[in-house]
Amino acid sequence: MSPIDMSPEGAGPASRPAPPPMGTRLSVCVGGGGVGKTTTSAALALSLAQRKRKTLVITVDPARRLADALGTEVGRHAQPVTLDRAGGMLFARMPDSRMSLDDFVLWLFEDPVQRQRVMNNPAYRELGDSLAGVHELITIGLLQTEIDSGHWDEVVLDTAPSRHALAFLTYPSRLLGLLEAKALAWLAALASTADPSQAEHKPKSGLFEWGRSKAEAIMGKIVGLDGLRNLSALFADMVSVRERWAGLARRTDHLLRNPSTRYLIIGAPTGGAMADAAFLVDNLGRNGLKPSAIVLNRAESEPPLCEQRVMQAISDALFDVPEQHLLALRNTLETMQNEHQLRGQAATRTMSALQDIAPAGTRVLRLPFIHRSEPSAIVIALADAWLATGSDL
Amino acid sequence: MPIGISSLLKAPVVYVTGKGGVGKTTVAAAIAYDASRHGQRAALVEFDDGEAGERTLGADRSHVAHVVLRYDKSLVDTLGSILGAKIIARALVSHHALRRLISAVPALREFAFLDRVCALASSKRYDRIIVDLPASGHALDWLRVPNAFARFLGRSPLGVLGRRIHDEVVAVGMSEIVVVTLAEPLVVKETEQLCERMKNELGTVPSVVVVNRVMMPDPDGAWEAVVALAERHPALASDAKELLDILRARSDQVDDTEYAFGLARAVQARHVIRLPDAAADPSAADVAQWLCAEASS
Repeated sequence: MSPIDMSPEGAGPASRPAPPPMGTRLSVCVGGGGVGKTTTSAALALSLAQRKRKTLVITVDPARRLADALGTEVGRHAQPVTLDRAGGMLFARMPDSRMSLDDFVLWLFEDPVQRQRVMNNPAYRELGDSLAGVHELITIGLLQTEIDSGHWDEVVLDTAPSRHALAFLTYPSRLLGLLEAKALAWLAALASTADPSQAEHKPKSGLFEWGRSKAEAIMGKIVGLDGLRNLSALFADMVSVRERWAGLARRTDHLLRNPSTRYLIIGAPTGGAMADAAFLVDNLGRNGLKPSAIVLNRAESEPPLCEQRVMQAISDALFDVPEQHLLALRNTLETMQNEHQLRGQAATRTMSALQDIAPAGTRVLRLPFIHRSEPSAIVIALADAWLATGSDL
Repeated sequence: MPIGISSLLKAPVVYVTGKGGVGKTTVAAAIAYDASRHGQRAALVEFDDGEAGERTLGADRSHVAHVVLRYDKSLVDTLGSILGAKIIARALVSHHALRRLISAVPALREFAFLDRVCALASSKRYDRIIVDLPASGHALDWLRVPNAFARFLGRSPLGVLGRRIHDEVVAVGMSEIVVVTLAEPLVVKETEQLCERMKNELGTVPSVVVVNRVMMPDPDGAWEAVVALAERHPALASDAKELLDILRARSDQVDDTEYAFGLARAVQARHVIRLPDAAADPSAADVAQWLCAEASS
């Protein structure tokens, strides 16, 4: 019924008993910016589709990167990817982050009057977009719908390119904790009783006797009474749909902690990506989770043989071309060799650093640097590399 | 003496942003480094986590003040400045129920951080404050927050403070924005969207767009040489073909660079600067040197 189709079944108290293990396996790809995460996720999805698993890849990257990588249109709804190799088994979807906040409110509030009141609240209008975690919630809702649909053998989620992307793991339960906190109930009650003359002129004494009136006075002093009233009204509305939040939090927790859900940390041979990977391993660990694999993308190994053979042909004087062409070729090959060497060193260094931070049982994989420029060619080559890394991936 | 990159930037506060992974922090650190090398008191500001700045500044750290703002402390400072005493603010945020309530106020985090940037600017301890903002879309949300507070909270202390922060460290003339991008079509398109939103929502354009990791074109003639080799020696034809694919990919990248450059110019930034591709991580000092060379050419 809502535009993002977050099916309400199971969102209420009836969902208490743990659902049976999912038939759909979820792979969550995380990593810092610039590591080629979207391309790598698309390649993983393609490699699964090539194994005849019906696969959906979801990206939250607002750029058209996924569409470009798959050489196809990607929109708000799951659409088939037309690459020959996918054999009709690969689908892609990209949520529209601008629209989704209102969609989420539509889903959350079933009562049209309440819904309208929330959307008209100045606190929501001015600051709703900046509400931390809102986009994570939307992604979770969408993910949940796709998993519940039972359409997929595999869902690959390409998260936001940030070391903080994992915040969404704990967001629903944190929010629930907040909604159940006394302060909110108190603030919600305040919404109906906020009285300017009272809150503004309370005497200030007994610094450490934190009575209710004191707290009100201070909050009123910081945000002003109009602000306090608007915020309170917004929270009161949020508290009133607590059960819906609770249902979402429970289902998400189940999804993210399901033993079949796997986490893949994507890195690249740069200092920044390395630091992000270490951060993410820690972060997963603090949530009682562990990555199935850490993947080093763009890891240059052996330089392409053709370069060495052509270099040899120059030494063997097999060329019969103008001197300046030969010189240009030699310079280009030398530049390339120099780049290979630097990239190779960086890859070796990063690989051993990643092995050091990998928890026991986590595989460290390397995907090669692809010397191509068309995004779809890179995805196809990387899918082959994924297939070559091992049977369970 | 080279003209520093910092001479292209006039405002006391400089925000650096761009898509994740484009080298934002490196450029921010390089600008701070360059300013300090030209005798200015410079600070590099990061939020919550100073790891990236620490790594990029490396051994040259001593020239630049590296300020890492933590949320808990920033919030106490901000509330303290409103309430007139830090002790009240501290009691407020450590109160078990209120703590959760405060954490639920939307965008308070961004607000508190920008308030601290404002405090740094008015302390006059630095000539140049370089702020490493979060990636693209979020950066704009950040800069809109003080004004949003001013509109939403009106004449309340927090609203008044929002207005002041906007006027002192966000408004046109008080701050400038540097956008870092890569010479890749997709990344540049996103940069174009960012600049468009910047114009519509903040009424400003970036002072400098830095196109990072630019590929230098290979010398002319290599292509012809490989084609001739394939014709003359059929045994090497498949190697030659593979090498031609690689050369084509390289020249495509150079074409992308030109395209990216065109787009970067079209966003009407005052300056567009390109930095070379360095197959390994460069230091702030390296990047500062490149920026200077480019800025003076």
